[in-house]
Amino acid sequence: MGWFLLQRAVQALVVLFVVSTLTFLMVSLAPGGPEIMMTMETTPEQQEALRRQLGLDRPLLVRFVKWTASALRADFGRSFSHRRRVNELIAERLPNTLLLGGTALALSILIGIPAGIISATRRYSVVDHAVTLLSFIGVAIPAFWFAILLILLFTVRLGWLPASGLATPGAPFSLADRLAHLLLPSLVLATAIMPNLVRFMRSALIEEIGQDYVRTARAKGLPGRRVLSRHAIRNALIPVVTVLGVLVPRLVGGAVITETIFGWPGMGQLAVAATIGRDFPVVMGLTVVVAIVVIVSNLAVDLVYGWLDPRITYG
Amino acid sequence: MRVRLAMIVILSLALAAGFLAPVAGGPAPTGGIAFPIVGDPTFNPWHPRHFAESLFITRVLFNGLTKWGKDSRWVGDLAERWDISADGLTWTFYLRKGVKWHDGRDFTAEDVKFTYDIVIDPRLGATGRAAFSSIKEVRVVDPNTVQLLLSAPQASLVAVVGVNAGIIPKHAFAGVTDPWTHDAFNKRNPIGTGAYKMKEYVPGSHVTLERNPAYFGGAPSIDTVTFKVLPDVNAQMAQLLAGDLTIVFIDNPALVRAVRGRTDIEVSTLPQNNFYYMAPNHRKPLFQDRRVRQAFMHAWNRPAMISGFLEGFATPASGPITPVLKNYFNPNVKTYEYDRDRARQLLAEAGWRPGPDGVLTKGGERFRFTLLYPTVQYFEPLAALVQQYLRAIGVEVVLEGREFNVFIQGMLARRYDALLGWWIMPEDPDFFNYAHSSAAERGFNLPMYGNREADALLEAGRKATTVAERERIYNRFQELAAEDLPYLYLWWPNEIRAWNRRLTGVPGIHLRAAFQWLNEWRVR
Repeated sequence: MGWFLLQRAVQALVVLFVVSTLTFLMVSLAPGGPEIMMTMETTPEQQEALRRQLGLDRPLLVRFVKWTASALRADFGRSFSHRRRVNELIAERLPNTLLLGGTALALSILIGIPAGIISATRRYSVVDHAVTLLSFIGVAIPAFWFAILLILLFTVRLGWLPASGLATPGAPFSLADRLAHLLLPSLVLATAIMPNLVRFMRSALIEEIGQDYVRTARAKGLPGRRVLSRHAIRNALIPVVTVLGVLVPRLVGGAVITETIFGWPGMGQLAVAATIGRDFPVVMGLTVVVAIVVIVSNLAVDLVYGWLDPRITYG
Repeated sequence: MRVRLAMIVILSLALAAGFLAPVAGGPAPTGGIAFPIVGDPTFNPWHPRHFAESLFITRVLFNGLTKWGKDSRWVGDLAERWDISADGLTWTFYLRKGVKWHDGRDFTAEDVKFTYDIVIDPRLGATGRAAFSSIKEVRVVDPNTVQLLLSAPQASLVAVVGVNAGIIPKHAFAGVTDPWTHDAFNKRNPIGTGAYKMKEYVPGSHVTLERNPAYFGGAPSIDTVTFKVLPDVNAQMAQLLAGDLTIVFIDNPALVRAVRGRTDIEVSTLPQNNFYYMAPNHRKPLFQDRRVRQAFMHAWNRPAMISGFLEGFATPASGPITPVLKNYFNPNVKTYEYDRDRARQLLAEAGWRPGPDGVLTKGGERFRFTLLYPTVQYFEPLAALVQQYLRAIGVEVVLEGREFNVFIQGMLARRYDALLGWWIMPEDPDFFNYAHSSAAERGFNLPMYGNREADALLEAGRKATTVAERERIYNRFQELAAEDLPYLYLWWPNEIRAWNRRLTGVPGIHLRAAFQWLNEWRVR
């Protein structure tokens, strides 16, 4: 097992290096230059002054080496627009994204997995058809449209839920307030993830139920429920875990659209603003963080496989 | 399984109860108003990253020497009055007494000197400093009197020191070598003289300012102003309708439909000192014949475009100086009706004949050019229409729509045959920076126009000492600008804003200036 983990660690470093080099090149060489000049009333003098201040007039290689050297010390420098340490910014935004993503994930799992199970066990029934239809609709709905629709319904029409932010500005802390602000964005995000879980759970479980060992267990006299929960579902979870492993980084990388529309101060919003605003250090820092999340979640998925399926061993 | 199911249902109901307790999410804490901004702001009006989202906040936090008054003229802000020396090179500003910074310290002329020294320092690259290029030196005469010494007369200085020119406190920057990295001020706790002071900033979420009861212009009545970070314009409109936002700036006229007819929302529109244009590069031989430029002005149907994607919220422009500048505006200049035949005739006079495919040719050269424009606002449909209109008279346009930052780079490097853009200018007829030949390479003279008479007029306009003299000069300039077409004028857009009817007292001036009178706004 130790050998396995060491291999993965080395692979991780290689991936991180390739990803950061490519990102650095792309951001530096993108048309429009590495500095931002977002106003018509700008002059070449200002551009030059800005380049000098931000150290962007130094050669590409020098800048890259500098960045890599500090990145190895986990220091991603200082944001150009926010003027704070990138680590601080990410540390501030990450919990918000995790909260949003985590809630969406929890909702998806709590509703999606049972829905997939029911769908599989009552195949071709009305419930199954309904679940399938809803899944397709969920996948087809664009997030930005659904988000605005929810806002129009719940904020404008009904006045039940707020439309943006983490909490009501200036109000003292209240759990109800926080949850109210969390509900709509996590619903939108969940709509993007849930259908995948439902479909994968359904098809994986259908396949398991058709296996010989399930027939044997039933023939042996085990109650249908126990056959399902103790045996079939556990095996059917393997493909589902794979899907989760792919979806989780997507959540962290930024539910960009959802965060933008709901004014949710998370990593996605930070990423968009940093990209448009040519906020170099933030873009690089975020890229590395997301790359790490992808690597870790892939590793976690592999380890969970081992737990779910005793035939799989590492090292 | 059944027990687990029951537990899940009970838990969900409990959570739901927490959610459904009606959360008003109303405008900020009681007695406050809310306004949307599209990104995180910077609280220093001179910072190189001080863009559109920051200016509403800095106009409230800080004061300049002058500001645009409710009755459409320049009035004193931190300066009570000013006078100009006979040679026009020394402006003396007599500052208000007893003004205090938000931290209680006294405002003095030293603060003005400190601010303008930063502005004129070329190494620092303060934002907007191009407007102050004629300021040579700042001199403190006494704690309440400061002088700006110019290298050349500039009658428009009174306007220029009133637009996004907030004075920042010297004492807050004591010991700071680089003002742009002084984050304690720029990104966290700005200290100004304005009607509101910093209360709370949650990055990525909102900025809340609270009233400054000691404000020299009169204590504000509204308790707090919250600027919510909302990058999405549809979300902004939805929140306005829900009452979570009190006032919004409507950039895209198509959105007016969303609020029209609502009894609780007031939509108002007014003209602004802003014109949209196509700037042909006068250094390219293609555009050097005046008849060609005039032909273009006849080739497009501006009223149709205005009703098409501006919902009528604009007026076809006859020149760069808008009717907002009441006494300076000259309505008696050459205008151009939509007339394709006239356009073709002018081009023929200039020697262009239609080739076999309809595209004009002259001496073997096709009339073909690239049009650079930013992919923001409504420039995409505008550029496409311009392309169509010009194709109809035999001119081939290659469209080059670029992301805003890339567009700016192209603009700075003068890498275009023609470009589409807009100028929002302070309310003064001084068009020097935008059309004088000295501003062609590195200034705002994007068409790279160089006309001797125009140059002379623009210089004279800056030197003139009386309103009557300036009127005469700029009237002639507008005649020339309409005949010779440094820019090809599209329209003067109206500003559209919408607010909740609970809000009153907003002066009838453009919104950025109205924010400088925030102490007079009221909420019912």
